[in-house]
Amino acid sequence: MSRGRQGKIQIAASILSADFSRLGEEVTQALEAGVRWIHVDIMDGHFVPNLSMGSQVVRSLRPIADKFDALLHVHLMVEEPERYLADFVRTGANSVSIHAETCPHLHRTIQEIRALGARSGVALNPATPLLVLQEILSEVDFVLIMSVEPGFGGAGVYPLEPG
Amino acid sequence: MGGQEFIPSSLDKIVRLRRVLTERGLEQVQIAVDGGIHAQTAGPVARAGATVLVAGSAIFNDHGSVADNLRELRAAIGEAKTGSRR
Repeated sequence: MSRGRQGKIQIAASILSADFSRLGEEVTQALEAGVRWIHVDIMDGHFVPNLSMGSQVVRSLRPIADKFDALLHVHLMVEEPERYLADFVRTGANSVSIHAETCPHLHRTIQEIRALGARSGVALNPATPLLVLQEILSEVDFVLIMSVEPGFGGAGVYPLEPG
Repeated sequence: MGGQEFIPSSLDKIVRLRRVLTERGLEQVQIAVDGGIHAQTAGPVARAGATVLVAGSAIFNDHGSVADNLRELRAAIGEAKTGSRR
């Protein structure tokens, strides 16, 4: 019955772990290997402890993603994400996720993303219950379940001690 | 080099979300999962009902080429598909 979706499982490549001195090359390798979802983590040092990157990286990746008709997704781990939506979509993001924890007006923010013409997603931290999605689920294209605490060590931001 | 450890209770959360989406007839809504995805966790995450697996250090690392790493992840998901049919 639900077997149909099994064939549609896809892998998204998160660039935070890439070598930034050859970002275009590494992203191209992932696209050539069939990846069609490039995942860009945006961190503000407030909602999450680390900083990552801004829309200039999205602008640089857009032409590369376009060559492969790939989704360029920004995961906004930032407070007040509504301040940045237009900038990220204008520079080339065609998919945007925001954290439910950062959006008191989640419905409105989701509608803004859609109005900008991008796919919309709601991200949930590990401790945030699914219940917060109940009234918004039919409005989103995807839910992003965080299976680690976002924006902390690892994930290529800081090297972890081995073991 | 790798990221944080996958939080095991996430699997149950994915299963419950998949159930809600099915019950409400919202199967077009994708479930993406982000954090601690590698060849060992990708299978269970796919089996739980995720449709998008976000991987970072499992793709971009010093151990293998991007293509080889992706092949390994896809093999892990392929096994999950086989497992789910039993």
